[in-house]
Amino acid sequence: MSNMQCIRLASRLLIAVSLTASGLFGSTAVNADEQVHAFYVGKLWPGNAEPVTDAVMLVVDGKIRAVGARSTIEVPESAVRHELQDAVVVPGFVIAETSIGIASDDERTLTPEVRAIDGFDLFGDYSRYVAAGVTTVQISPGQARLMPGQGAVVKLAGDDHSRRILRPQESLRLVLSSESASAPRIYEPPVGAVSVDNPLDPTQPQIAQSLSARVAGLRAVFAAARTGESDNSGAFDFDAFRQNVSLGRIRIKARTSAEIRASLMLFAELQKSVDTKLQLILTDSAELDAFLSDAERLKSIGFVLNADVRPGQVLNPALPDEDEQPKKQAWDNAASLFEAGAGESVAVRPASDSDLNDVLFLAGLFTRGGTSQLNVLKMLTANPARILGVDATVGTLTADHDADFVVLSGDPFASGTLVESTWINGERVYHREAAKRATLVQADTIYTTNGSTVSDGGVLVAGSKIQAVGSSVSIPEDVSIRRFPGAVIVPGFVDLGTGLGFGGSVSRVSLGTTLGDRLASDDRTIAFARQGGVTTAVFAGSDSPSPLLAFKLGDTPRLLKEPVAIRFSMPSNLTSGVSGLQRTLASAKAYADAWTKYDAEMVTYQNQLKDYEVALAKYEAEKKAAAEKKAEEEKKAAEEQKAEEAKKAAGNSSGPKDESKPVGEVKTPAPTPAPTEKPVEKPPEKPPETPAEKPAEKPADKPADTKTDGSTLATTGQSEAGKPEAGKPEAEVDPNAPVKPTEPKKPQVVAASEPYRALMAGSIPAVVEARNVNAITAAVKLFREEFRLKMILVGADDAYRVADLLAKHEVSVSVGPTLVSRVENSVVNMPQVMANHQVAFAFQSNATTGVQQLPMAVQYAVFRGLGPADALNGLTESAATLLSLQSSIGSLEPGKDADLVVMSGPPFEPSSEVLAVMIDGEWVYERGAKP
Amino acid sequence: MKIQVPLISRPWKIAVVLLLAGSTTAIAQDRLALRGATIIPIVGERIVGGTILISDGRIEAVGKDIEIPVEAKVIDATGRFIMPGMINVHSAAGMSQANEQNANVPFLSVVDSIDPIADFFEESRRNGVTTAAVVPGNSTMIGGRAAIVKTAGSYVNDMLVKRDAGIKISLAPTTGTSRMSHFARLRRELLKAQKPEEETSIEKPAEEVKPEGEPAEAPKPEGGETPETPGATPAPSAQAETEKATREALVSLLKGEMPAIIYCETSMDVSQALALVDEFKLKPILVLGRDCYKAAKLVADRKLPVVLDSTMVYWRTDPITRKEEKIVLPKIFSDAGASYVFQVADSGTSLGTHYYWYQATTAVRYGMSADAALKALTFDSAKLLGIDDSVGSIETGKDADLVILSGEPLSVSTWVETTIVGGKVVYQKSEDAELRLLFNPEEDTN
Repeated sequence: MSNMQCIRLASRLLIAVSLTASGLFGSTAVNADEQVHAFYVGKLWPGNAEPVTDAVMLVVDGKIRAVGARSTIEVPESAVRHELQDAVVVPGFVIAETSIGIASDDERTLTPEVRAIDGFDLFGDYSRYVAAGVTTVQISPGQARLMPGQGAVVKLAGDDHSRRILRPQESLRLVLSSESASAPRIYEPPVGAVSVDNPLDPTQPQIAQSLSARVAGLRAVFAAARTGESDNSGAFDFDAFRQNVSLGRIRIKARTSAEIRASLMLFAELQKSVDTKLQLILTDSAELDAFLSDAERLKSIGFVLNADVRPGQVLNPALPDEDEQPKKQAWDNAASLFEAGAGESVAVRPASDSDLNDVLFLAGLFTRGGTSQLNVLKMLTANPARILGVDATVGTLTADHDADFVVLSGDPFASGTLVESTWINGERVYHREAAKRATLVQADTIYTTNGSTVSDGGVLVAGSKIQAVGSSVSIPEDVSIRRFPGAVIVPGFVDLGTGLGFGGSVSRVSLGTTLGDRLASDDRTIAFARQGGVTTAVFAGSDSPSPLLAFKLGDTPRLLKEPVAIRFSMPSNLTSGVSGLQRTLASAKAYADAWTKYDAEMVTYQNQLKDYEVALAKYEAEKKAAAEKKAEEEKKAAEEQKAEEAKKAAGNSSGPKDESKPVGEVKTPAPTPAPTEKPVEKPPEKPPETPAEKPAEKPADKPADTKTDGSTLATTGQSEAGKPEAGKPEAEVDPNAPVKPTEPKKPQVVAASEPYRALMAGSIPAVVEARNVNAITAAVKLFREEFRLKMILVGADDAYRVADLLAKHEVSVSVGPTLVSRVENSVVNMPQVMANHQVAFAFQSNATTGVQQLPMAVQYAVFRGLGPADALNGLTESAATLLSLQSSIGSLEPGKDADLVVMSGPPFEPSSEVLAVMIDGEWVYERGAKP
Repeated sequence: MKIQVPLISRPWKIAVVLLLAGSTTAIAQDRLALRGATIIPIVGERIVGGTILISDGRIEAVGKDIEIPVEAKVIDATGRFIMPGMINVHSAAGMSQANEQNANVPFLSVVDSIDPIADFFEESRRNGVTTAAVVPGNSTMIGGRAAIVKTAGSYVNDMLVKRDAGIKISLAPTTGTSRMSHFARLRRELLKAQKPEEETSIEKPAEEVKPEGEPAEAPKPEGGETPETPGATPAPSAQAETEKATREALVSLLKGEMPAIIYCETSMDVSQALALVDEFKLKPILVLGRDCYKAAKLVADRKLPVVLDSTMVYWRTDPITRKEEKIVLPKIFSDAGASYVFQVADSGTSLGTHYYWYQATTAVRYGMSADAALKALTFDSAKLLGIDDSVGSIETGKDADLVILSGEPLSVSTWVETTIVGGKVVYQKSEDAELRLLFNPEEDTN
C-alpha cells in the first residue's frame, strides 16, 4: 500500500508539473507522465446503468479516469495492468445508515451538537465490513434519543484520513419511532461552574413518551429556534441546531404510518423556518402504503429501507391480526417505490451492523419484490450515495469518481458469489486469501541429505510442501522471502523415541488402541521440545507389543503414520520368555498369512470371475442359438407330422368330430418336446448360482461363532475353500455349462492383530528392546532369521559388542538417550561404532522436554569422533528410512514436507545454534521471538 | 530488610528542608565553582575537566580554562559528570489532588495546591530533576491551568518558573459520557469563548440570569427560610465572577498566550486534537496515552513534538486475531520520524517507569542514541514547555540547575551525587538520610 502511496504522491507532483502540457493533448487524453492503472474485467456494473462486458477501467491517483468496453478505451503503454480476468466488478457498497463505532447514546434527549464523527475511530479495524464489499457508510450519532445529533459519511479503509471523511456533518437525526419513547435514563445535568454557589440543576425528565408529546416538544424547539432564541448555557444548543439545519439534511426514523405522517409535517414546518431547500431522509419506514400516491413528493424524499431480516436466523414474528392487512416486507416497499417512480431515492440497509457482512445476500432478497438486479444494485451504490449527498465522489464507477470498487467472483446477487477484493481510492484494502503464499527460505548452505549440498541457495515452500530446492529457484509472484545470511539449512530432525504427544505417559496400550486422534494441541512441552530442531517424533509406549506412532511437532501435532512400528521387548528370562514371544509372532504370522492368502485368492477369483462371465455369455448365446434351431426343427417336424396326419385324416375322410379325438391321442406324442425344453432353460441359470452363494455365506457365519484366533481361522478357511466343490454335484445338470468361480472367504478382522499384517509384510519394522548380548542375539535369531522382519534395535547397551552380527543380519539400531558411555575404562561411542560397522542407525531421546537436547547429545558424539555427515543422516534421512517415511520426510527434496531447521553454522559445530524451525511450512520457532 | 522510610514523620522532613536551605544560603551569595568534571552541556561538545562558574544563581562561565575567583567556593568534581537538571514535563504529582470533580474548570490553577514539601519534590531532587511542570490530571475535560516550578524551595512563589504554563484539555471521556458527547461539550465551551464578549453578556441578563438565579437561592443555608431575602443577590455575581475567570482563561488559550496541554487517550483522539488545534488555532502540547501509537505518523507529519506515555513497552492482544504483539513506543515514534520527550508515572506498581533514567535507557535500548535521550530529558523538554531560554542546557546566562553524577549518565551504577538548583546545592547524596536509612537500616537503631 505504501508503494501505491508513493506512486500517488509522485503522480500528484507530476500532475502539477504537466498541467500546461495537458492542454496540448486535449482533455480526454491521459498525460504521459501520470501513473495510470488499467483494470481489465469480465463484466463491470457501473452502478447506475446496465453492465459492460469485457470492460476496462482506468484509474489515476485513486480516481476513475475512464470506463468502457475494451475496444472503446485507449490504454496508455505505461499503464500498470491489472488483469482481473472473468471477475465481475461493482461499485463499493454505500450503506446509508449504520452505527459503526458508536458506543452509546448521550443521556440527554436533544443533543444537536453531538457529532458522530467525533466518536468514529479512523484507526479502527473495519476489515470485516470491507471484506463484504462495504466501502462507504453513514454513521449515526445514536439510536434511542429524540434528537441524537449529526451523522457523518466516512470510508472504512485507507491510510489517507483526509480522503476518508466524505461528510463530517451529514444530517441532523430525529428518532420518531418507538425507540425514543422509552428513554433509558433520566438526564442529570453536569455540575455548574462553582458548586458551592451554583447548586445542581434539578434532574430533568425526558420529553414525554407519547408520539404527540414528542412531536409537540420538537415543534416548540423549532419555533424557539426560528425566533432567534439563543441559550448558551442551557440544555439545548440552539446554535448547533441552527447550524445543523442550515446544512440541509434532516434524517427522521419513522416506522409506522403515524410516525411517517408526523415526520412529513415536522419537516414541512422546519422547511418554512429556513431559506435553504432542505432534504428529508426517512429511515426504516415500513408502512408506506398511504403515501405512495404522491409521486412528486416521494421523489424528493430519500428512503433508507431496513431489510428487517437477519441472515440465517430463525425468529418468531408476531402473529398478524386476522382482520389486519398482511405486513409488507421491505422488498415489497422497494418494489412499490420503484413502481411509483421514486426508484432513484431508495436505499437498503441491514437490520443490524453485524449483518453488514451480508449486504450482498440481504440486497439479493430485494429481487423478490420484482425489482431487477440493476435496481437492487443501485439501492446499494448509486442511490445511497445520492441520498447522502456524496454521489459526486462515490456510488458509481464513472469518470471522475473515486475508484472504490469490489471485485466479485460472479454476478452480484448469485448464490456462491464471493468478494475477491475490495479497493478504496484505487488501493486494495481487502484481498481474499485463496491459497497460502509461498515462502522462499534462503541461506548460505543447504544440506539436502539426499547426497547433495547446495551453496548460496534457497528452499521454496508452497503450502506445507517443498516446491523446489536449489541455488536458482524460480520464484512465484507473491512469494515472501526470508533470508538467513551465513546460515545453514538442514532437514527437520527425527527422534525415534519420545514421551511427547499426550502431555505425559500413556500406559496399557494394546495393539488395537489408536492414539493418533488424541494428540494434544498447543502443548507447551512440544513447543519447547522442537526448539532443538526435532520436527518429527515417535511416541513409544512401554508395553510389549504396542504400536508406535510418528507425528509432527507443530502447534497442532499432525499424525504421520499409526502404527509406524510395533514395539516388542525381549523378556528378562530368555529361556521361557522367548518361546512366548515366538508364539505371539507365530499366531501373528498365521493371521497375516490368512489375509495374504485371501488377498491372493481374491486376485485369482477376480480373474476367474471375468473369465466366467465371458464364458457364460458365450455359452448362453450358443444355447439360445441351439434352442432356436431345435425349436425350428421341431416346428418343422410337427408341421410335417401334422401334414402327414392330415393326409391320413383326409385318407380316412372323417368329419370335424374326428378332430376332437386326436387331441386326447396327441397327448402321448406331446411329452417328447416338453422334457427337452425344460433343461434348456434352467440349467445355465439356477444350478451354478446356488453352490456359489451358499458356501460363501456359510463360512462367513461360522468363524464369528468360533473364538477369534488366527490359527483356527486359517484352518477353517482352508477347509471351507474345498467345500464349494462338494456342493457342486447337486446342481450338476449340464456338464457343458460354465461354472461360476467361488468367492474366497474373508478372514475375520481382529483389531488387535491388524498391525501384524503390515509388520509381516515388511512395510513397518519391529522395534525390539534388547539390552545385553544374549537378548540381542536371541532377538536377531527370532525376528530376523525366523520371521524375517524389519528390525530396529532399541535400548541395546551391548550393541557395540555384536555390531558385526547386526550388520550381517541388516538390523538397524536406534541409539540413545546415552550415546557415549564409559565401559571398563574405555569410551564407547555407540553411533560411531555403528557407523564403522555399516549398521544403519538413528537417534532417540526417550524424553519429553529433553527432546530439545537430542541434537546437542549428537553433537557430543560428533565431538567424540562420529562423522558429522553420518550424524546428520542418522537424525534425518536414515531415521526416515527406518520408519519407511522417506517419501515425506528426512531430506530436502521437492514434494516432501517442508520441515526445515535453520542453523547459524554447519550442524554439530560447537558454535552452531538453531535459528529457526519450520514444520509443514509454518515457522514454529525463531530464536529471540516470544514463544 | 526493613524499610523504614515511610515511617518518617512530616515535621522531620520540614526540618531537613530548612536545614538544607539554611546551609546553602551562604554559598549562594558567594560565587560557586564546579571544577574538574566532565561537563555534558547538551548543546555542544562535552568538556573534559572543565569548570562551571556560577554567580547569582546563573551560569557565569563554562569551559576548560576558566579562572576561578578567589572568593568562589569550589566544589571539586574531578572524575564526575555534570549535566543540566532534568525536566519533568508532565506530572499531576506535587499537589493535593490531580483532578477536580467538575470536568470544566479552566479558571483553576495548580499553583493553589502545590505542596513544596511533597515527597514528589524531594524525590525529584534526589533523581536530578530540577524543573517540573505540574499539570492537572487526565480525568477531566478542561482541567485548569498548569504551572512550571523548580523542585526546590520553601514557598510556591519562590519556586515558580511560569505561573500559567498552559491549560489542560483531556480528550478521554469523563465517566458516564461517550466520546461524542465529551467532544461536543468541549467544542461548545471553546465556541462560547470564541464569540465576542458583548454578545454573550447582552443576552445573559435578558434571558438567563432570572431563571438561573432562582434555583441558586434555594439551597443557600445563610439565606434562611424565606427566598426573598436580599442576601440572595450576591450569588449571581459570584457566579459571574467564575464565568469571567473561565472566559479569561479560555480566551488566553484561544489567543495562543497559553499552550493547550492536550491529553489523548487513543489514536483517534490524536486526529481529534489536531482538528481542534486547527479549528481554534491552539498552541498544543500533546500528551499521548500508550494506545496512541497508530497516530505516530500524524504527529510526525505535523512536526509536533509529543510527550510519550510512561508505559513505553507493553504487550497488546489483537482483538480479532488474538495475536499478541509487543508495542515499543519509542521505536514506533522514531520510525515514524516523530520527536518526543518522556514522562514518568506518578503511581503504579512498575518501579522503573517512575524514573527518567529508566525511561531514557529504555529508549536507548530500542535504538535512540544516548545523546538524543539526554537531550530529550533536558533541552527538548524545556523547549516543549517554552522555558528553554532559562533551563535545559549548560550555557552562560542560563539558570544554574545542575546535576553532578558519579559516572556516565544512563549507566546503572551511576548515582546523583549533588543537585544544584539556582546555584544552590539542594541535594547531596552524602547527606541523604533516607537513602542511608534504606541501605543501612541498622544504623538508625544505634
